[in-house]
Amino acid sequence: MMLELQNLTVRFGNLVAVNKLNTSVSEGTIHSLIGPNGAGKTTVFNAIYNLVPYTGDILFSGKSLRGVPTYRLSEMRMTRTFQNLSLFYSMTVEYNIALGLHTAIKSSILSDIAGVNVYSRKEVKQRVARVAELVGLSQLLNAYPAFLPYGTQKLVELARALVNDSKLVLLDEPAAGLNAGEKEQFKEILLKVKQGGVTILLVEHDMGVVMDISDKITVMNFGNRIAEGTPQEISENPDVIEAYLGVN
Amino acid sequence: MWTLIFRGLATGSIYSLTAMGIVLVLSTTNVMNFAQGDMGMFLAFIAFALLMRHVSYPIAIIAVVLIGLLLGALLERGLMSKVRKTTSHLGMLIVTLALTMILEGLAGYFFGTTPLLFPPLVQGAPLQFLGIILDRQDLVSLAIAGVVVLILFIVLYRTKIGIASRSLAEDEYAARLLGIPIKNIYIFIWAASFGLAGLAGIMVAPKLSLEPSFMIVIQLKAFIAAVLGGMNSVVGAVVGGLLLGVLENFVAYYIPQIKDSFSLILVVAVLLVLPEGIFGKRAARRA
Repeated sequence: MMLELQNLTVRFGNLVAVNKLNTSVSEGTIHSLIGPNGAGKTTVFNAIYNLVPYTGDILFSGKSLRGVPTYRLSEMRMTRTFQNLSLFYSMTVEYNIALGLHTAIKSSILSDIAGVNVYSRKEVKQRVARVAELVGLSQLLNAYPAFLPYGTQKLVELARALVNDSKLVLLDEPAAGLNAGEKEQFKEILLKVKQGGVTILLVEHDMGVVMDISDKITVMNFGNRIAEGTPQEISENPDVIEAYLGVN
Repeated sequence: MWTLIFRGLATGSIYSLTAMGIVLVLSTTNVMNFAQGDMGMFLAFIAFALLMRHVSYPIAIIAVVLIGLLLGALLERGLMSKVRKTTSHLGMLIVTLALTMILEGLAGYFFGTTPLLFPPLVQGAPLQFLGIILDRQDLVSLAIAGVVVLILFIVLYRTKIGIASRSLAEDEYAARLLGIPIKNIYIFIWAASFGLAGLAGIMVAPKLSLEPSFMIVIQLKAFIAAVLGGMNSVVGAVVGGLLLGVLENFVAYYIPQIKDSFSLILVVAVLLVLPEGIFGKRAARRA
């Protein structure tokens, strides 16, 4: 298993944001975490990233993440995107993506000053170019993100998450704010990413996106797991229909 | 006129060095460092002590910068990193104010409060070039500032730690999740800031008399330079400092009555008309 959540519980005072959640994400799959607002989806991401205290355990490739500092996860080749865009607007698209390689680049200040810009190294440029091609950003590497459409900025963030040959990518509402065409493009890209062997854990509100690309879906409500299964099983689950999709 | 511009640039280069230190710390740690000037003052006293022991000027400068880097790293690890966990940004600002008092107190205790004459960086009559009068001290100050600015820009824009620092300045949360070791960046920033303060202190000291409060005016001008250039922009700090130096020189020459109050009038005007400063616009695009 790429990721296992074992009795994961997150409390904020008296509020139980995530309650004894058990689930596992298989390697090379797209696993979606869905639920109404406040269900605890992003809190799960934050627990995985050690940003909130939790009980239970989280295993990444069989190793517990308890006590692993946030900045080490990138080294372990787990990356994430954000609900709200977190790009570096003073830097080009190329540098934004290359920053995803921060933990992979070995350098020292002295060698940098004496030699070549770390981000102009052949190896770095090749890796950035490869991921840019995958997500369709090859022609925009010298552009500044602020001048790009919102959907394209989302792709920059995705490329940054992928550039370090990530094993697991956590995507927090990647389709939010995208138009229909951009959503279709995003779905195709995510399927290509999966074919490349990357595992994706997806938090998403857009049911069209979730149902079309997920291999497995976990449904949460008020911090509890209420259902889990394939898109077909989830769409037919009465508890899900009642709690999440609404009852006709 | 060119002489006025040259002198203004020389003075402005000192404002720029101090402003760069302030902006580096502010943009990455969100702390307004009121002690930047006095960090330079303290190091200028150390340089003075070295010079009085017949250490050569270049060695004294290098030693002071190295001591500054070390003190900056120690300050971050020993104080700021701990205070950051227990207090707000306002609390940290007050800590830097306290640091000002501590440094002035230490300088007074160890070196006395009697103004001392700091040896000039270079001696000799001013040079003349195309009718411009070039003071040797100003020339050296400008050259040192130019080299330092160049090195700092190479570090910030070409090196891994520099680019990581810039990413931290824009979005700490994202930088942390990308695996950037924030603690190391904070150490780097405070060390660089203290080193810059030392250089500024050595460049100012020969122009004024050396005493515990001699950098207060420079600190104020550096704040104004930073506001003028944009509080989150290192480029802005450089340009703001140079611009302020030149404008001040012109005002002092043509309207000497408002010489002392000019920079304060300027900062109020900038805050009213261009509150983000000349190079501060990019921050506004963050959404």
